[in-house]
Amino acid sequence: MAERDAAIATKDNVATRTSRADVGRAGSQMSTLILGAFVVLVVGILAGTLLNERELVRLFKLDQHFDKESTLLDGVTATVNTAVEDLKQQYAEAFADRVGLKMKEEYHAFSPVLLLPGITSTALELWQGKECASEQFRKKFWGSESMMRNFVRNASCWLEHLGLSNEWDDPENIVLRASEGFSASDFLFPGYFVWAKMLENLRDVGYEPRNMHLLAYDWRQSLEDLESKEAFWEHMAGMVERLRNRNHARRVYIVSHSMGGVLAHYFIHWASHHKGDQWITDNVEGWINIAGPLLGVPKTISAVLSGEMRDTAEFGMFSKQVIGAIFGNDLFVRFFRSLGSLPSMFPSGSPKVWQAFHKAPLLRVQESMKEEASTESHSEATKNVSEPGSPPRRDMILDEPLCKRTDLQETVAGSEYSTATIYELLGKVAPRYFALVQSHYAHGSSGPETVGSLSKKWFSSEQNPLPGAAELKITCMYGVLQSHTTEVGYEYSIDADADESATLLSINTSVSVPEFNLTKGIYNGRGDGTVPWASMVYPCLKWKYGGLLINPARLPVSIREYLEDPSKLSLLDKDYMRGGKYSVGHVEIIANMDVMRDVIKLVSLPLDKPEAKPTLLEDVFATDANDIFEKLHPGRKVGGEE
Amino acid sequence: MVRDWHGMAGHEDGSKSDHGSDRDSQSSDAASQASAESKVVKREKRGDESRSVSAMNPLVAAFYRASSLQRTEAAEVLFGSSATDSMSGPTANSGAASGSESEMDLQRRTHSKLTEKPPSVWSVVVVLSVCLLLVAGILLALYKVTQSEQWPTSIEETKTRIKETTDYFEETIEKVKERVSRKEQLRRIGWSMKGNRVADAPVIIIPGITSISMEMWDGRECAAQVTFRERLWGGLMDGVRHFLRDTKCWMEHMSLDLLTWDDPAGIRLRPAAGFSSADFLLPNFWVWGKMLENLHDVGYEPRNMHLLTYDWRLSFHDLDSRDAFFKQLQVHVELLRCRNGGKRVALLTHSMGGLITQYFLQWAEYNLGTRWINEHLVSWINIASPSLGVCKSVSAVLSGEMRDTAEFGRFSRQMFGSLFGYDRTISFFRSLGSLPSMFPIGSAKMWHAYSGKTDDEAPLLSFETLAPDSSVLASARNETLKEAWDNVVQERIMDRAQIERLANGTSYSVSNYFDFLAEAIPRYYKQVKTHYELNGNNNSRNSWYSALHNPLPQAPQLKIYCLYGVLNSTSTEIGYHYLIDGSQNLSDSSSIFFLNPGASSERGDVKNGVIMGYGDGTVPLASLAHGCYLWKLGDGSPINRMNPANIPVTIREYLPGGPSETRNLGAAFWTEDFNTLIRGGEFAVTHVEILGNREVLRDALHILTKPLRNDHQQRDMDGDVDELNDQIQSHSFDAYLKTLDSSEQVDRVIDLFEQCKVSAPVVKDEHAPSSSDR
Repeated sequence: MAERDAAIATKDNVATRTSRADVGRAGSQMSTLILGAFVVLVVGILAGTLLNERELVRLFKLDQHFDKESTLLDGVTATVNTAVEDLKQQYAEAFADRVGLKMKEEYHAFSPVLLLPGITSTALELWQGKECASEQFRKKFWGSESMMRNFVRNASCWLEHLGLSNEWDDPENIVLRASEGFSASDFLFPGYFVWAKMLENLRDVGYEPRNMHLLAYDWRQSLEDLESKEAFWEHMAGMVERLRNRNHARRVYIVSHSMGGVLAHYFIHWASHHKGDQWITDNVEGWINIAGPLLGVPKTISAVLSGEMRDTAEFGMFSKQVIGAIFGNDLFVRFFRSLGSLPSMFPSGSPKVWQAFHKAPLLRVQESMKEEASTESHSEATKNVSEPGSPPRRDMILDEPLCKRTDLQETVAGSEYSTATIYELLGKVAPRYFALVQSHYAHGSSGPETVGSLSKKWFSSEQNPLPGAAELKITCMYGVLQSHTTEVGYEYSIDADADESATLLSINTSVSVPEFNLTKGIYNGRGDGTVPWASMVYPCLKWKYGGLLINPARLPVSIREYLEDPSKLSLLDKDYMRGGKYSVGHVEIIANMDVMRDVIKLVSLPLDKPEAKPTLLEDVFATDANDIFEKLHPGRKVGGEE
Repeated sequence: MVRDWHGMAGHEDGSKSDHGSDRDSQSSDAASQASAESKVVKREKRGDESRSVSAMNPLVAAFYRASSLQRTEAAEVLFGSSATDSMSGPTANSGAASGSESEMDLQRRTHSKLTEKPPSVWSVVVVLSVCLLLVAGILLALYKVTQSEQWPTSIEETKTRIKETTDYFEETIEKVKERVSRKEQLRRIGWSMKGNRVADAPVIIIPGITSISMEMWDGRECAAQVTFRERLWGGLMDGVRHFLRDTKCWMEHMSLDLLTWDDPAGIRLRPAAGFSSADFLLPNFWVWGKMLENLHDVGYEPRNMHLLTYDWRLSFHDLDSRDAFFKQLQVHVELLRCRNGGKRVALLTHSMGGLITQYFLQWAEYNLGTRWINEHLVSWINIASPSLGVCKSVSAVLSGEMRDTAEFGRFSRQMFGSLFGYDRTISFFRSLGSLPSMFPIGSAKMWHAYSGKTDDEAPLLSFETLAPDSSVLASARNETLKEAWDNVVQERIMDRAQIERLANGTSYSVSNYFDFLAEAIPRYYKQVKTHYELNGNNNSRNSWYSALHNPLPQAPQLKIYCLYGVLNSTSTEIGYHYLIDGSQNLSDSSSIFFLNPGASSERGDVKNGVIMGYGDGTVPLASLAHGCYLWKLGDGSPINRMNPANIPVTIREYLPGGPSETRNLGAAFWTEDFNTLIRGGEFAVTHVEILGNREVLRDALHILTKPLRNDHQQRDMDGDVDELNDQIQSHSFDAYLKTLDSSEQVDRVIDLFEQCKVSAPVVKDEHAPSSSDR
């Protein structure tokens, strides 16, 4: 199989996606897995029955603890004791290594902190479910070990529950709600930390529920729906006021991660509009924006177009395997289109910017060669509706009209789409979905002129100058990996198998050009593995150096880049699997030692200077982002004092 | 079908099987299935010898057939023939084609006879074992498949077959499970109301003392093994396991600082947030769990319901100043109202949560104005609130003893009593700033009216000296008073003479026991006074907690419902007989008083020094009822001083055993749920269990919901069913009359009470057991 795959890959752009090969591979994986489990079982039983005590002892080297008189039990206890001692030792070391613990002597909590997690990081509880998820009342459906169990039990049921409806509402008889408190977002599932380490370190310098609040929310809702269904922004404003009230009228620091940054951006505009800039000045000290994708993430486009991406929005290989391998393509696409929050991260900004930072097209559709359509590989949805009937034929799952291949061939094949034009493509292949998106978000330069309410634009850093609250301090923190491993663009092709379908487009996995960082149809660029570099740095640079049009009140902005340093990764690191304690990956950066140190420095005050005021830290640039920005805006002086 | 299969298999092996399975018991079915399985395996082996690809196909077919057979079989066993009938697809058809019609009928009849009984545990076991066998078979088959050199052409088909089969069995197991859970569900009061009523007012739930989980944010060295934010109280108690060897350390972490009622140095415990912090105290020990489930049935979810947690150890004063708790409550009320189209919010409180609400109403009136209350609050459902306090809070701070700790029965008593030294326990209770909010208040007359006892029979505290030793006494008189200090409880040590003068032979009632506390534990008493206005003479912030000293706000839009249980027996603590240790000369208060274990009466109303009265097992009847009567009817004077705006108050009492018509039928044992049974059945009215009481759930849901729209006709016929009547089942009303001073007042109150009685029908609980059921 592998040889065949390789052969296909080397043959340049011929779109031959052989479903047979895929099926074969999946089958062999599955049976290998089952076989493996079986063998382990047999070996276990054999070992249990055949080996006697003495052999066990020899096998596991228990005998080094043996005196002649001692029994097996003593040996075991001795082993266990050494293990416990080792663990204690390790624990002590890890303890001593905590950055908060070191800083405890010098710093103490000052500004109250409001934490805003990103997409997929908040647990969702099941309040009502269909039959396949009965007896799960108020269990965490997303964000706990039972998530895995549910998934294994019935994957399609799981996906059905997790998604919203096509109209971005609760599906019939399914109610999922965000869980509450710190435990909603500390671990995604046991052992996989999200905010846990940050919380612990903040605790070390004196943070606790009285001066810190984690605002969990339903990350599937569109930003507009968060307001209309949950009064979320009211809630957030209330929490800010309460934190301030409780802490000697000290102003609150908002710390956001990932999509939380988009929410924070929305919030300051919401507050500026509803409560006035004075409210912000009175209540908000600053905003720490950790890895916020303020120009969006290209993979949201591929997700809603074809349900594909290198991994899902945030959680790496885990989700990819979970979601990708098992569901039908259509269901998967529907899931992504049902997430109202996703369009808030559609790539935006001028194509020039993306080109300058990443030198890759956002999306290109290739001309596909006509091949004989194999009758078997029609997707199920197509089968359902392809019987001759009324003229406008629709895909029932996605609720979209079907596209004709020949039609697409003529219009989109061969064209290249940028952040400015991508909406044309969306409008063409998914008109219903696109109309829904437009009713919630005004994606600026896109397509027809959107005359929406003001609030539809608040998510976008492109369309809004910063508010006039001059004392709001903004810090952008993000990681940049050494390797080019962040998705920035896609090569698409038109499915040659079907004549008519709602999901005719898919990533052309047969194209790989190493010189362009193009692997299997995906252009990779710099970034933190999930969010491209441009999306994290450009808005911040623009605020900082873009002049009065974009930052009329001259809010102070500081930018801190964290470059991946492989030399800091040691094999002994407890979090080796997550990239070590200096990892700058999209999620791992919340637990990066440097980031935690800087966050603590920002929100707390040194003990020896009780009169001090919170100040910003200096900029740290590890990349040439400044130069790129200067080239983009020749008139702007970058780097010096403004 | 069965015969067909066995015929085929038997032919293969030359072994007999067949007709036995037709008049099968369920288990013999399983056995024959098992033998069928082994035959499949043998068959495979034989097929394997040829090692040809084409040999795989019959194998697959046989496999498929086996699985589809089991499908119908199992379905019949479990769900009767109807399930088989409704089964669609080629499975049923192919089977029917091969079997003769008459045999089919016969078989079906025998099966339906069998399945007239509900499925037993055995059927589940059978299905499970069959399932296991099948999985083993599949594994073996797969093993064979991977052994063959080439992939079979129909790998895809095999996969779908396997998936179908496993899917089917999972489905079956789910169905069985669901049948069981569905039965529970159908019995749930919320479920039965679901069709008629729907959630209306958004709800904020405020739990009582000890019901909220506490997380450790910071700990001392002895708790180094507790990971960050593990729960030291409530939930799974996952943090507690670290303290099995060092219970003192746990106690140290649970306590507040004795002198400041603040966090002790190096220790921070904070309440957990969200519903999961108060649904279960221990695994399976529900507190709010049942209520939440029922609320959810009628349409409550996080968008219109919030459970507000707080640090239940803090004094109300500190809850405000340190945690800004009342501000938080205000924010959440506003938020819920905003989220639900401006609907006013209901408060649902239990135990001490009622006192907190009492405080909140005063706080809101002072800070936000009565208009805010009128606009934002619609009702207050006050379940078992101790509005006149709880006697055991006094014994707890005096000697660390009580029949059980504030709320959770024997479990806590044993934990507190035997694990941690004596004075440590006392200092723990004295460190809880919230406890004095539940010191008994009011006059002795009030308390005696409800307990039906006189001052002599039931003082709050009475003292005797044990073995008075004259020599000790004499030497004590000669000794000069030394300034000595007890470092554990932080009190001045008293000398013998002082103790004798203060306590020996005297008894104190609710009216004057503060005098005793002031002398016996002066430092603590002084501290209490800085947070609570115990005598309530002025309308200061410190007296807001008390129902006796502050009139309800001028908010006539609010409705108050008092729901509480009254046990038939006298089993609630209302007073204590103490002994004074006579052998010591100098002593601190902590170690010299203890409950008189010898004081017991034959009537059973005094046990081991504890005087028992009416109540819900934790809170005395006087405390449960009096405050509500006072609000509802006033004290008989022309103007209702405590409720100037005449906020409507409804009092509903619940007796154990459920509605009156079923009360003597042992309704507790009617339920099948073991977990409910050990908590006293589904009609238990004890202090915590009342939150799962069927009647209380029904009434609470009734108050919070509104009828569905298509129900208008019904509503007209029934009259105004939206209003609940008073339901007075104990002697509490008579007792209340006794607390009044003059006969004029009594007459006025009776008149008022008669007026309150509306002739609205009582809400029926359709699924409750009735006499005819038995």
